[in-house]
This record gives sequence, structure tokens and C-alpha cells, in this order.
Amino acid sequence: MLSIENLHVCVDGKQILTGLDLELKGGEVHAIMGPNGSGKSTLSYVLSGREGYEVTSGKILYQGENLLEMDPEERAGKGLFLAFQYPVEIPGVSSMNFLKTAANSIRKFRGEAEFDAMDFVKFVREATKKLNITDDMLKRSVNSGFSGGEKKRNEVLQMAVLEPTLCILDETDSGLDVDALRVVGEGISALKSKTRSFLVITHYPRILEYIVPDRVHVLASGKIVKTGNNDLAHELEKTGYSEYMIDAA
Amino acid sequence: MTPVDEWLQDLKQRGIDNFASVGLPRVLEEDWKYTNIQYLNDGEWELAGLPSNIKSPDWLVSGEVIRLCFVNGIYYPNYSELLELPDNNYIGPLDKALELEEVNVKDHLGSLVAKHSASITELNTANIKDGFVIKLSKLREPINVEILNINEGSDGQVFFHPRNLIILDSVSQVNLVERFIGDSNNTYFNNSTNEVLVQNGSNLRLYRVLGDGNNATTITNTVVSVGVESVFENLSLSHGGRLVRDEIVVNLDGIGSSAKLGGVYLASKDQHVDNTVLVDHKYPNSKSEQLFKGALAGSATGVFQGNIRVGENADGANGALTNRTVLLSEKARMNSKPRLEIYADDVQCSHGCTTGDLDKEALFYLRSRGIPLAEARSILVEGFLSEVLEHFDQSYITGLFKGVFDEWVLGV
Repeated sequence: MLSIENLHVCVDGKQILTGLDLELKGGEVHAIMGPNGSGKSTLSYVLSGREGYEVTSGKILYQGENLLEMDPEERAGKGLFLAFQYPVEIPGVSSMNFLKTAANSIRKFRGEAEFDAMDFVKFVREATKKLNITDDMLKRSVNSGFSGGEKKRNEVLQMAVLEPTLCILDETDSGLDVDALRVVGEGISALKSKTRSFLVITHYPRILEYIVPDRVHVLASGKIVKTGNNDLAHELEKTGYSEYMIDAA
Repeated sequence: MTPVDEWLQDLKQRGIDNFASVGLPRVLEEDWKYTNIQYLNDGEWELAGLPSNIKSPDWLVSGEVIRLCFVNGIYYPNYSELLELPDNNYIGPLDKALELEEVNVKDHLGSLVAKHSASITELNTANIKDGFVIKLSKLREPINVEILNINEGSDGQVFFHPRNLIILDSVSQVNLVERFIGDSNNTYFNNSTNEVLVQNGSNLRLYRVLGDGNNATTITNTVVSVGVESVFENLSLSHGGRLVRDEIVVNLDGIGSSAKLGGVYLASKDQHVDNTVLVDHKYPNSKSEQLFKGALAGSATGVFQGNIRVGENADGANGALTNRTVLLSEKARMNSKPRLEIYADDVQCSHGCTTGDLDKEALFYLRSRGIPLAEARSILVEGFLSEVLEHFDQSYITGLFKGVFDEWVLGV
């Protein structure tokens, strides 16, 4: 599904990722945990194709293809989805229209028939019910004036609607209270399938209760410094990251 | 010659004399600093005639509506649809209005623009030929009017000077759509002047689309007096022409008068678009809003000059002015000049102007959801501009702005 080899990435001339390796198979859930500033968000943005991230060496293969040569929309078309840590507010663009345009863009890319308006409303209703998303939220502009919890729920809604093959969750649990975390966590959990892979980037292990990882990696100073199973996540909860920060220094 | 003919002859002669003494405005004048129309001095201009082929009109407003069609500024009765109105009310062409004593054009035509004398309106006065007149009183039911100007120009340089008069008195309400459309590449100059009087609880909603041909020059002057408890609304969309100058002067001439002015401008290639607005608060508790937003592509240039003046008698006045522009290319330029001039003590006025690129974060967000770059840009531009449209009741013009917008964005 995803194969990252010796990835080096610079942002504004500063080396952020320093030789990251990762192998994620179809249907697997991997967690990437690490202290602030270790390069977690940089990894998510490089994978999704944001501008301003210079890959100085290494390669990324997604479904056997060179991911770095693809535009962001092509990556999305091929099933890659990033749930943003800070979802962007887009005034003047209604959430419903945005969702429909996105879903149809991806269907078009895959050579599938586009949704007509009625079918799409039905399709979205299913997903919104589970996520406590009201019709009012769908009428409002994308993320505009949404609370932190609403923004994250909206990310999970998009994930449900766009039916990706690889979901990258960038700190999706951050800024959520317990109740909001449950809604978001259960929403993500419901999307698990045998063919869909997850890369869960997180500082805290609490979201991993909803989406239990097959592998947990510790990212520090731009590379994976330790890999283990789910026990590693619980261990980190007790010990914190200080050990890895000293190592890295 | 009838007395009305003589009066009109005099009015036009004054226009000729006044224009001759000053000529076209120059960039040395503060109000014309960013818009240079001196090229209009090149070559001779002739009054336009009817083109040989006139395409059929596509009307936008449905239901009970009065329609007037003009071609190259000339009233075209074959395409127009007038309705019977109660006595002392009139909606129709200028020439017929001049003949009707009860419409009393001569008491009003020329009097509003006289207070804001500008050489370009003098040029219009000098060439008065055709136009429309709306004069309503005590008609409580809203009247819908659609004016379609099919501007083709012709071989050689032609100009025309539509002159329109709108007088709404005693709780009259009009929804007026005024469109300039031009599909030819002919060089023509459309210099249109509207004189508008809205008084005693009346309400005018004016929707304008300025879409003249590629090589056309469009200059419009709308001079408005808003009386006691009356409302003037203007929503304009400018997308055509080589150069467009859309100037609106609103005098808030009564207690509780208000003006809501909105504009969307779209320009690409080497188009130039200028929105110049003056709102003059002359009476207490008068209210005004200006919201102008645009997108500039190619090497287009834009100008916004928004002025709010609050006279010393206008305590309790409330004025707001906003201009925002998004630049879609590195060569596009915007000149935005807000000005507040306040002589009263108890007033609330605000202004805000910004010019910038499309939000890169938002663009990436859309693309990361599979939306191709060109479509993502168009979604963002439309979202950016929609704030203006949402500010106005659009039930009379459903689809009009969206249609123009979609076409424009595809061409950029």
C-alpha cells in the first residue's frame, strides 16, 4: 500500500525528516507517535502533496507508484486521504456543495458514474447521522465558524464520503473533549475494513482505543527510532517522550 | 418646435457648451487618477445606428414584467413589452415620455446631474436621444422592469448615450434589471447616465450587468437622490468591455434614507474596471453600505474609489465601506482608495480594503479532496465573491450572476 524509504525532507531550508522508513500494508493500522517538532505533521503533508516541502532524498511508493510525482488531487483520486490537524475554513463555499464536488471529482477520476443530487443527499445522510452532523452544518460554509469538534467531525465525514484506501489522520484527537473524542473515534472505527489502511499520527495514545494499531512507531528528530505493537503506545503514555528526545539530541 | 422640443434643445446645447469647455477627464483629476480615457480623443465618433442583424433578446425576469429593449442605445419597440399602468404612472421610452405632460420629464431630467456636474455626463446630455423613463407614485405593489441593451456597435467608431430617468414617489417599489450585453469586437463607446429620485417611503432595487463587447468602453453614471424613509439598492456585476467605469453618486437627502450598494467586478486580459462611489449623508439617521468585491486575472487593472461624506446635519448617520479584491495573476493590479469625510459629531463610519491572492491553504485543502486545480480556484473565487450576492435579494435575477460568473471563470 505505502512504502517509504529513507525519506529526507526540508522545509524552508531546514531538515525536518532525516531518513524515515515505513512499510504499511493493505488493511493495516499503523500509529506514528512522537514529541512535538519531531516531523509528524511534515510527514502527513508530504504524503498529501502540500507545497513547500522539499524531498531531498528517498522515495515514496503508493500502490507501487511514485507518489511524489502526483498532484494532490491525483493522490486523492487514487484513494489517499489526509484528515487535517487544522481543517481550513472556506467562507462562501457550502459544505454540502464542497462534499458533492469532491465526491464526484474522485468518482470521475476513478471512471465511476457521478452522484446525482438526490442520491448524494441520501448517501451523505447515512454518514452524518453517525457523526452527529446536522443539516445546518452542511448548509454552512466549509468549516467556517465551526468549533474544534465540529471541524474534526467534518473531516471524518469527508473521509466516510470519499471512501479512501489510505487514511492519514493528523492529530485528529487534538483539541477534543472526551465526548467529542468518542464521536470522532467511533466514526473512524466504523470506517475500518480489510482493504483500507490507516496511518494514525498522534501525540497521545487515547485515539488508539478506537482504532487499535497493528504497529506503533516512534518518530523523533525526523526518523523512526522505535517500532513495536500496541503495548508500545501504552508504555509511551506512562513514560512520555523524554527518552527519545535525549537520544535524538 | 413644441415647448418641450425647445427645452430639450436648450438642455442639449448646454451639454455641448459645458463639455466643449472641459473635454474628457484627465488623470490629473483626483477622481480619474487611475483611469485614463484620453484614448477616446483619437479619431471621430459618430452616433450609432441600428445594426443590420439584431439578435433576439434573452429575457431573464419572468412573470409580470415590463420589458424595454435598446439596440446601440436606440429604443427597439419590436422587442419591448410595455404594460398598462394606472393614471399618472409611466414606464416606457424617453421620447414618448417627453410628449406626455403628466410625466413632466423637463422638471427632472438634468436637474440631478447638474449638482454633480461631470464632463462625461455633460457629453451624455449633449447627445440625449433615447433612454427609458420610470415615473411611479403611490403604487404599493412592486413593479418588475427589465431593460436590455443589446450593444453591437458597427464598423468604425460609434458611440451612444443612453439617458434614463427614474422617479419613485409615495411608497412605490421597483425591481429593475438593467443589462448591457455585447458580443461583437466592434469599437464602441457606451456612455450611459441614470438620474434617480426615490422619495417618500419608496424603494428601488437596481440590478445591473455590465457586459459590453471586448473593444467597448463603458462609462455609466448613476446619480441618485434618496428621500425620507426611502431605500436605494444597487447590485452591479461588471465583466465586459475594454474599459469600464461605473460611477454611482448617492445623496441621502432625507431623514431615515438609506443606500445599499454592492458590486462584483471580474476582469481578465488587459481589461480595466473602475468602480467609483460617493455616498453623501445629508440628513440625520441616514444609512449606507458599500460592499465591492472582485477578481482580476491576466494583466487586468481594477480601481475602487469609495467615498462616504457625512454632512454637519447628518447626526446618527451610519456608513460602512468594504472593498476586497483577489488577484489571480502576478500581473493583475488593483488600486483601492477609500475615503471618509465627516463633518458631524455623532456618526458611525467604517472602512476596510484588502487585496490579495487566493488562500493557498484553502486551495490545497480542496485539491487534497480530489478537486482539480482549475475547479478548486473557481470554487474559491466564487465563494469569495458570493458574500456580495448573498447580501442582496436575488429572487428576481435567479441564475443571472451565477451564469455570468461560471462563464467568466472558465475563460480565465
